[in-house]
Amino acid sequence: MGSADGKRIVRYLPDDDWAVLARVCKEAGVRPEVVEQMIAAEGKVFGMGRRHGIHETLETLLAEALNDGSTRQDAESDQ
Amino acid sequence: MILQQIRLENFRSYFGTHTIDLATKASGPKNIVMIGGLNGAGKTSLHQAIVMGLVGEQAYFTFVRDLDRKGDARQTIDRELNSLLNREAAAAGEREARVTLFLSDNDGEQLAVQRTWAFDARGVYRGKEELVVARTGTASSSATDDEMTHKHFEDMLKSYVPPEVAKFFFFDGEDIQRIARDNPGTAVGDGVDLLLGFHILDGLASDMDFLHERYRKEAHKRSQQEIELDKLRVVEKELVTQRRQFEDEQQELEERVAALREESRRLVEELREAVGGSGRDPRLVQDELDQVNREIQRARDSIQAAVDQRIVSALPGDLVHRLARQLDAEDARSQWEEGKRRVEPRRDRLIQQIFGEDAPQPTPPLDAAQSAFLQRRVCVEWDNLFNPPPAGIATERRHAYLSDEERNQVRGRCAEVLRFGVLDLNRMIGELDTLQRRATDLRVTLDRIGDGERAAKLVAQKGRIDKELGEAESDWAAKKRQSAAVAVDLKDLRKQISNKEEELDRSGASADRADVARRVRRAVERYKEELRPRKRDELARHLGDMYRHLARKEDVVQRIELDERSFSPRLLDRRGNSISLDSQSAGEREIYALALLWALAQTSKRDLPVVIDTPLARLDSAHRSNIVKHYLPEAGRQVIVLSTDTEIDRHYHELIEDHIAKSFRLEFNPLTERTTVADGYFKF
Repeated sequence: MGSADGKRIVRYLPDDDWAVLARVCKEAGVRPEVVEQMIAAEGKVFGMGRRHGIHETLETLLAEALNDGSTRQDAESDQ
Repeated sequence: MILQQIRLENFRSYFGTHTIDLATKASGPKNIVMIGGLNGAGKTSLHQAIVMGLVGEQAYFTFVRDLDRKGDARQTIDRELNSLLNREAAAAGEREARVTLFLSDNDGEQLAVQRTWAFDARGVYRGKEELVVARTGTASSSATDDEMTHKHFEDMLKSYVPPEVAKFFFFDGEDIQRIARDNPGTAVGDGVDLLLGFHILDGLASDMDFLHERYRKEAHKRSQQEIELDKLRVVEKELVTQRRQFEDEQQELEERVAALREESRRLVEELREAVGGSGRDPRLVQDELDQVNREIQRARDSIQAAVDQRIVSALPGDLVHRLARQLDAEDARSQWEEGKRRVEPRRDRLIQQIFGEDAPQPTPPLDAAQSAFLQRRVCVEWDNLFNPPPAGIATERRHAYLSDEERNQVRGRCAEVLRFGVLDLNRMIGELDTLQRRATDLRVTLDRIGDGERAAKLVAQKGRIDKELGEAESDWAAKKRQSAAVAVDLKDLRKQISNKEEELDRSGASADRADVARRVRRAVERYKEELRPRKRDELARHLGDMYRHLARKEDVVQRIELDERSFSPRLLDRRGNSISLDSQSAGEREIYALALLWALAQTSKRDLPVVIDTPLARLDSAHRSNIVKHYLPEAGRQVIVLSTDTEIDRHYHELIEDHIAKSFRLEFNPLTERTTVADGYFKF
């Protein structure tokens, strides 16, 4: 679902918003591509009576973020 | 995104199929599509078709119309849905209304979006909307290839047209008035939250909190699980010890059983040795010997009887045979003589009838000599009737001393002797010989056993050993069962331990995931924090710019500021004094609302067409001019304006003529209740 090489899988955000997200994600030690996917996933279920499967999707993305620990290490080394 | 074309089929006042080419160039000044129509001509239907086609009926009512599907709103929705199918089409048996939109995005991708609403025979909406999206690849109107699932359709369309921002791009004069009438500050706040996706970010933050808490709890359970795991491992050790003990005991019992079996086997051997290899109890041997001796005696008696009672068998066989034949011949003679004797009274009566005194006499009568002569002759001839005697009868009865019963006995014996023969006697003698040899063997066995005391002791000892062996085998089997039960318990326990270890592994991962969730949560919060002032400034700038364009010179509002947190607008006059929006005229408020919508659309950075239905309804001519001149050409890359001839009239039409790419005119025939689409705007 995600990309370990830092490539954006979805382009849900405008570019200037993406730049902000990328910066704060780097500071937080998470991959912005994964977070953008999470935002897109939330956007898809917004307003729906049933937010079916959103937690599963987010958990999958969290696991994916966890499996690629490079972002966190990079972030920690940057701090 | 450019709306290239719309096709309506039996949608509201559009009977049959109507296709409107709405394409404008992606860049350049001609970005407006003018669609004119008098009141009731079908403008609102066309507006609704575009929006419902893009976002679907549910999102249309929820996000664009702000109807919450309860109470009166529900009735409004039902009424509108039930009026989607053109009445004439329904009367003709049609059951579906359909809208097809052909879109192109900035990358040149072509999409065909088709929504169909089905109705029952009474024209009631079935509540099911069918959506088909196809990538057409080229700017053709074919929507056949690369079809996807409904979920993918919805997701894909949402990425193009997020329903929550649709109302900032697709609105009508009533929406403007409503925003102007209500608190525009609230509209800004809600709009910003929707446009910037803050609600989505809030949802993500909330879900991260939820997942973080879940993972944290799972991780928190770890220590407790470790304690439980330690307990399980203690039990495991106990079970392992117990199983080992059982196995040792089982081993001991197994060895004991083996030893007892060996002892028993040895005793058998010793006993066999003790009884001369027979391995038998001497008492039983003696009993058998006694039995054999009795059988020998019976055999001897039988032979003796045979010898004594059948002495005739000692005679030559021919003599026995001849004796039997003689007796048979004598019997035959006796029968023959008895036959003669039985008819002799008849002979005497015959002589008396011929020669008696009462018999008739010949003439002359016979004298005595003649009569005697004839009587002798009759007697001789009578005897001749029985002679010669039958063949095979005895000439004499040599054994007349035997009574008839004795004769039968002698004849039976002779028959026995003739049947018995020598072979039977030999068999009897052979059997006797076998018995005697067996008796000899038994006696030898008994002789070998000796006194039998040792054997008896061995037998008794073997009995004890066998009893011990049975008990040991029983204990051994019980111990094996116990050991197997412990093994099962141990297996179950180890499964529990394995599960617990997996839980621990997961909870270990949960701790890491909780950490990632926390980091995402933090990033989202930071993102919101950074985004909000940026968007506020951007929105304020757009709002101020557009408001200044649209306002009249005499309007007092000169500047608009937005609250840092709530985004509530603050209107300022020339001197920087705050002005209450409530104090403004309806027209000014509408201008403000329109500027707000434009600013929100600009701030959202969504490249969507802007579709406006009757935008100038309550504005005066000065505001109308400003809107036509400054708002419509700037509203978006593609602006579709639905207007009456009194809104965008000849004058206003001329103001934007250079920006108009295409014009259409909707005409409604009240007799047929049909809308038709004609090229060109109103003819002035």
